[in-house]
Amino acid sequence: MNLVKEEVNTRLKRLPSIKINTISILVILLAGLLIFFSTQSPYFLTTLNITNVLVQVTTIGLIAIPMTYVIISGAMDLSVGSILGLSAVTLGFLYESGTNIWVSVVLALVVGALAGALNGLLIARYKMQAIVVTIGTLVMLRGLVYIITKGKPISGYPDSFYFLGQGKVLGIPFSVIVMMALFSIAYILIKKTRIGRYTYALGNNEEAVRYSGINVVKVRFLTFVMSGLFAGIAAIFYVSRYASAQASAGDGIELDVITAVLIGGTHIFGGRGSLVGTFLGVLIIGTLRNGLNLMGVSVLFQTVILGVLILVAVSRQNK
Amino acid sequence: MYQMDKPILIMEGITKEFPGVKALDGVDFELYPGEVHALMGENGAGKSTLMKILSGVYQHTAGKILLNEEEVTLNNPTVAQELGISIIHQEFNLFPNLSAAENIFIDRKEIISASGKINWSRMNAEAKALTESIGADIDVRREVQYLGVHSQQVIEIAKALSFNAKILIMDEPSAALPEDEVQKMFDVVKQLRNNGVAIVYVSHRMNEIFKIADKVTVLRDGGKVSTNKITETTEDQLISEMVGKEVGDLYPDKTKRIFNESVLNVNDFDITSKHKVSFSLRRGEILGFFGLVGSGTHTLAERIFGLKKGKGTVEINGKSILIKNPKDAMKQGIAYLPPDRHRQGLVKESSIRENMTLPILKRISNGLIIDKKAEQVINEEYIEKLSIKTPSQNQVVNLLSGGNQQKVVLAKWLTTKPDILIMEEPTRGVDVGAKAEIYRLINELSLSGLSIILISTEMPELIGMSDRILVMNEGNIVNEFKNGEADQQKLLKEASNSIDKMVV
Amino acid sequence: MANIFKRREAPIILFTIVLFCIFSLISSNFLKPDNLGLILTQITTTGLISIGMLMVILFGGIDLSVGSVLAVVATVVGMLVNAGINPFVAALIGMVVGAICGAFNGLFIAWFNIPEIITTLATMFIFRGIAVAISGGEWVTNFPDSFNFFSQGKIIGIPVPIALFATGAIMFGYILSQTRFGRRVYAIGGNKEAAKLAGMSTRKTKFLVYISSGMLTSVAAVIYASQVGSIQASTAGSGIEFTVIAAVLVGGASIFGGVGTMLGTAFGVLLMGMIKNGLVLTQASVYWVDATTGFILILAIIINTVQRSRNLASREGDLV
Repeated sequence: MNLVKEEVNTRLKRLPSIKINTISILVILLAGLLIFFSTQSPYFLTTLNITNVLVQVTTIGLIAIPMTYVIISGAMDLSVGSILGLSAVTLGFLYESGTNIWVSVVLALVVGALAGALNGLLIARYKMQAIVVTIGTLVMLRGLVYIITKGKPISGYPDSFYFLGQGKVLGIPFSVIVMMALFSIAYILIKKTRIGRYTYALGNNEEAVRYSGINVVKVRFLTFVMSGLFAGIAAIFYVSRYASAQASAGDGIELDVITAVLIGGTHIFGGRGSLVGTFLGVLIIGTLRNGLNLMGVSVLFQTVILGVLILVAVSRQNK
Repeated sequence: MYQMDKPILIMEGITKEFPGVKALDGVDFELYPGEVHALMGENGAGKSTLMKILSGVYQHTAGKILLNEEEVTLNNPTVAQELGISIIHQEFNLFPNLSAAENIFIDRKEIISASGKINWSRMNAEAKALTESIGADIDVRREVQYLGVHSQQVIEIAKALSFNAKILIMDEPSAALPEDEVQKMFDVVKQLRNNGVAIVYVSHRMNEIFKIADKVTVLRDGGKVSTNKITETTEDQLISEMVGKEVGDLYPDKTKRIFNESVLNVNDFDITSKHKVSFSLRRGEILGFFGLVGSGTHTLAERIFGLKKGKGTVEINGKSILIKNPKDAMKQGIAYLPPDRHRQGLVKESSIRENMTLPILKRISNGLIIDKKAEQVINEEYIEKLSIKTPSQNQVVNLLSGGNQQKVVLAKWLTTKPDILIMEEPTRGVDVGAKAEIYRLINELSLSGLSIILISTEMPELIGMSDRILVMNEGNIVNEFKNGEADQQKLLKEASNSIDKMVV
Repeated sequence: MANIFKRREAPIILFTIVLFCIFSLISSNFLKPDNLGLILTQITTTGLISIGMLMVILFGGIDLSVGSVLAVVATVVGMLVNAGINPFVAALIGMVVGAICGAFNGLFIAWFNIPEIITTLATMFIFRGIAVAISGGEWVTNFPDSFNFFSQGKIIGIPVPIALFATGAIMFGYILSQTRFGRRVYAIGGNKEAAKLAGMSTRKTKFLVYISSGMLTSVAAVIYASQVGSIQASTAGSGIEFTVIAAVLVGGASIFGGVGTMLGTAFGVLLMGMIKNGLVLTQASVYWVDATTGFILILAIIINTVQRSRNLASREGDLV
């Protein structure tokens, strides 16, 4: 008889058309921010500044891509900032000790993916809680980063390497092109391939996916490897842009990334979300940070606004 | 024995309507102090609804409840508990991290001294006294997670008694117990009866009822069929009362089925490290499996489909195959319709389309990209074939009726084009109309050469559908019934037989 | 004696003793009374915060915002004493501020049902920002001598920080193990559904736990401010949440809730403090402390999960 009741209840509960709503709200929010900041600073809407915003968001944008997958699949990765730091100093350390720069880049990416694999192994294979595991790796990897660098930044890279983070193709910064390309690929993957289907289904009902004969462990593992790899990619662009690998690179970036994903409409408990939303979320955070910078608001106060944004975004989901 | 002649509880004309369904229709039920009153009926007969009303979980739509000749309103479980009505569910509600005594007295004012400190010695002493009053010997200071199932049940009973329970509802109390602990539970129940507690004993198990109950009430289709003294009824009578008239045309004609060579041979196959089974399945056959909760039918299904790891190979079309995971099983043409469609069968937030092709996404992808066209065609085909009632294949599964949801799960597995289909409880929680349709579909599938393993706890379903029925008991296949040989009485007897041997 | 080994805290106590011996052998400075006193004083801040964290973890939650709460309270108290307010009054006001921060967390977690991790991740940044805003980004320093009481003062011969930590630990140890409120925390962590059926209000309990946690953190903040002598709101207490979580988990608490004791947590805190001290004494780079903390954290989680699956494994063989 329970079933009867349950069915009636679910039939009454109309599923809200969250996606369309969220996307249009985000577009309006972004437009509002653009208008507001342009009244505050004449510099805001210049091509130079817009390019600047786009370049700045590549770091969180790149990491937000796999984070969207991770959160949709019902998990969480707090260690991305530390993985970024680890990849960055790996790159610096290897190059400094005489490795070819491009070999160093590849190895830095491998290290990022391996760190993600460690998370994935513990979470997917051994069923540990994603949040606690990634808090653990957050602390551990950051410690490792400081041990490697002894706190000193590693600078001085070949000019060809600077192209990644500073160069332009047809007037568009190369890093922005890469981010857009990866966003597009990820969009196609989540929309049109079975990887996307599995990701959503995993977040909605992991048991049903398992009972459908799908290797749940593998899918979840891959999302975490991707998360690590993309943090590595973000690290490469980061080092190239700032011409130096600091131990503090990426510290606290998980807040920006998770905020972007959550305000982009991805549901904190998984199962729902979109990359378009995440992309808009990334732009909103980039615009907000840039605009507030121009207005002279301190970085710490900006994080207060991000914190409030997270709470608002998630409260909205619970209704 | 202590048998007072005034009923402690009278339920009169209890009716319960859910939107669209009448779960109970004018049921009368009387209970006397110091009696064990068995409540029997098939799944869906209304037993649990009646007990949920008595324990305050549900409110009846018509009728009245008299407790000690006074009318009472049981709005919620706390009120019922305070009035001395306690229920012990099949699944215990215990705190594994707390001691037995604390589980009994958690959050109760009685054990808090004036200073606000918990009076541990008093709590432990009272817990000990309570458990001893029902003849159980438990270290009440041990954490519950380290106690056995019987002890956990004793703690649940002691908790009820600590509220001065005068009426105790026990829902399938033997289901969770290993067989050697059932007798201990009986001793506890007898002790309770001697203490004057009225016990409602909900069970399927015929032999238990005759061992422990004083009276038995049978429900069927939401109505009361009979109340008898246990000495004045027989197993046969009870079963025929429970079953009622067979609904003849619910089941399709199975005489047309032809079986050929065997497709699946299972020899000494480990379902756990302790239990092995052997059987074979022929092409086009519907092989029924019957067993009570804990008999191992579910474990067997999960083992064959590779969801549970273990040792042993199965022989499929003459080849010996080791199945390590569901992928291996699906490669061999095995499909498995799980018993719980809400948790295991469906991603209810997704559309019919996405659910139906979940197991075959790889097959319908070009490289990585899912072929939407092919997906739509497959959906159209199966929506039509199974006559799933939906406005479109993009409909979210949540919004479908139970019967149609179940058809989606069935379709999902048919898209894998299986040779062997294991179905567990294929008609659980669907209405009679949808049942008949699902039976018709199963029959058609077997006529088209699909071999089916049908695991069910609904005996009429098994008898109506199966060509052979294997009965499992305590992890072993204990008997085989050919078509026409089985009836409910025989099935029940075989399924609960070993407990008989234990007790006698 | 046999009883000691049966206790759940036995492994952590044993491990602490073993490590104590190892450090004593490696470094001759370790056993000096000054150093031992230093360890004890150093752990009081993490110790007080870990009491609240233990309660949060006991019902299956987590609190990332404690470091920021510490910054807010330390800043407020520091500015108040600098404005000439009596240090004790300032400390009391600080506790109110801490309680408000805790209530804010509790409100979002218990009433708006926002997951602990998200709420406290957000408030970690919000409180930090508020602390910086209050301080105006300036160092808060040059406290009056009377404020030194909280770091250097003594009560009946015991240094004030140690006395406060001991009082807190004993008080909450008592509350957790002996009172209705404390047992509710365990019950909710053990089986939330059963707790609801037994008529407990999970919301109210959670809310109270977060308020207590906020107040304990604010006591830690007062000690911290007095010990350090100058506060930079943007960094004060930053990262302390990880040391605290590690200490609680190492002390035998389960991330799945319901399991853990005050005694175990106290030893967890002591252990983490010793490791930090020992690593510094053995001249390993300070950076090793973070890496070690993280490693211990993961190790604790692995042990937790293994224990849990072992507990569940006994059911594995059952037939269904």
